[in-house]
Amino acid sequence: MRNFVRQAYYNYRGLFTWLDWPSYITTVVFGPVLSIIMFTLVGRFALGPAVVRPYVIGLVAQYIPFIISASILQVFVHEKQNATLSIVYSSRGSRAVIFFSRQLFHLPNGFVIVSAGLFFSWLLLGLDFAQVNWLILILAVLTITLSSSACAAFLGNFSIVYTDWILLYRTFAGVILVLTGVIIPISSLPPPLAALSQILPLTHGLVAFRAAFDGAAVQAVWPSLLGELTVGLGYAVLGVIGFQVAEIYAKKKGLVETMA
Amino acid sequence: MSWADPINRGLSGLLGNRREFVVGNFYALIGAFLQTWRNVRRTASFANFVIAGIPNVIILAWIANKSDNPLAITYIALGSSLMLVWTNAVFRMGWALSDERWGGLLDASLVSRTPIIVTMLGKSLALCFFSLLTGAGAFAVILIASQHAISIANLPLAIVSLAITLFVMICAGFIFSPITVLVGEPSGLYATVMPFGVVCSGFLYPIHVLPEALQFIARGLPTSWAMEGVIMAATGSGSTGDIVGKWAIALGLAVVFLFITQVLFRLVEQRIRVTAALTTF
Repeated sequence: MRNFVRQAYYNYRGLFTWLDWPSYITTVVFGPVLSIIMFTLVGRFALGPAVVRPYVIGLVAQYIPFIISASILQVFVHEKQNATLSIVYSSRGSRAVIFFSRQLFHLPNGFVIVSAGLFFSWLLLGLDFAQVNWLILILAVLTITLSSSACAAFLGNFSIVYTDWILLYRTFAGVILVLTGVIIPISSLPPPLAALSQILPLTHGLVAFRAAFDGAAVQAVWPSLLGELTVGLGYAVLGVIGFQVAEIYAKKKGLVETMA
Repeated sequence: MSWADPINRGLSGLLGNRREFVVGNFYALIGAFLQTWRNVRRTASFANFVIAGIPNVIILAWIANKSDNPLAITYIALGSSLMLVWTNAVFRMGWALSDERWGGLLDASLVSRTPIIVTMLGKSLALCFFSLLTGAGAFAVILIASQHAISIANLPLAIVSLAITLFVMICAGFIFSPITVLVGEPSGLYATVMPFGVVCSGFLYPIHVLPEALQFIARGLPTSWAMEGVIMAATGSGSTGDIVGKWAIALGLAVVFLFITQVLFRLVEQRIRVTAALTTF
C-alpha cells in the first residue's frame, strides 16, 4: 500500500504538468467555468430560461471526465516522452498497481472541479441549491470521477503507439460532451449512438447528479450510481489488460522510448 | 556644391534605408506566413482543428435547431464560425513565440533587423487564415443541422464587418504571443484564454446577456464591438452610421491592442537578452 501511494505521488508530481498553481487554476477552475457560462448563456438566449438549470448541472458534471481524462492521459504520454517508461517496464512490480497508481491523486480533482463549477454557477448564473441532496451529489461525483479516471487510464495505454495526447483527449472529450446527455438528451440520439452512450463514463452518473439537485432519495438513484460504477469497473479491467498488452507490444516493437 | 546637398543626400539615404527596411520587413512577413502555412497544412493539424471544434458545433447546431428565435440562430450560425477561428488561432498564436524559442529559431529572429513582431504577425496571419477553413465548415454544419436559412439584410456591410471582425480578432489574439513567454509559459493557460474570448466577445449572444462584471470586460475587447457590427449588418437592426460606429470603436481598440503587443514584444526581447534565456530554459 505504501509503495502504491508513493508511486502515485511521484507520478502526480512528476508527470502532471498542470500542477503548478497558475496552470491548475486556469485549467481546473477558470476554463470549465467560462465554458459553462458560454453554453448556458447561448441556451438561455436561444431557448429561454428553462434550460439554464439542466444545462449548468450537466456541464458541471461533464467537466469531471473532461479534466480528469486530460490529466491522466498526459501522465501516460509524459512517462514515455520523459524516457522513464523503460524503468517502469524493467521493474518487477505489479502492473495493476502501476496502472492504478497513475490515477490515485487525480481523483480529488473531480471534487475540486464540481465545487468550483457549482460555486461560480451560483455566483454568476443564479444556480439554486435549495433542494440538493448532498449525499447523492457526493456519491455521484465520486462514481463519475472513478469511471472517468478508469476510462482515461484505459485510453492512456494507446500512448504507446500514439503520443499526441491532445488529439486523443479532444476526441474523448467531444464524444462525452455530445453523447452523454449533457445538453442533447440521449432520447434524441440515433439508436446506435444512444447504445454507445451507455458504455461511456458520465452517462449513468449524470442521471444521479441531476437527481441530487431535485432532492432524490438514495433508493431512486442507486441503479444509476451502480451503472456508473459498472462502466468504471469495465474500463479498469480492460485498462489493466491493455497496460500489459501495451508493454508486450512496446518491447516487441522497440517502442519503449521511441516515437511510434 | 550647394548648402542643400548634404541635406538632400541625408534625406535620400534616410528614405532609401526606410524603403529597404519596409521592403525587408514585408519579405519577412511573407516568409513567416508561408513557413507557418506550410507547417500547419498537415493532416494532423486538420484533424486537431476539426476534432477540437466539431463537438461544440454539434451542440450549438442542436440548440439552434430547437430555437425559434431568429436572432439567436443568426448569432449561432455566424458566431460559431468566429468562435472556432478564435479558439484555433489564439491557441497557436499564443504559443508561436514560445515555439520559436523551443525550436532554437529565436536567435535568428533577434539577429535579424526585422522586429520580432513582424515575423510573429506573419505567423499569426497564416494561423488565422488556416482557422478560417474550420470556421467555414462550422457555418455550413450549423445551417444544415439547424434547418434554418439565414437571411443577410445588407450583404456588403456584413462582409466588411466580418473582415473587420477577423482583423480585430488577430489583433486581440496576437497579444497572447508575448504574454505567454512573459508569464513563464504555463501549461494549460489557453484553457482559460480560449473560452474567455468566446464568452466576452459576444460571438454567440448579445453582450447584454452576460453577467454585469463580464459585460464591463467585454466592452474593452475589440471583438465584441466588431461582432455587434456583423449582427447589425446581418439582421438590418442598425443604420450604416451605427455599423460604421461599431467598426470605428473595434478598430480603435485593435490599435490599442497592437500597441500594447508591440511594447510586450520589446519586453520579451529585453528579458531574454538580459536573462540569456534565448534557447535555454
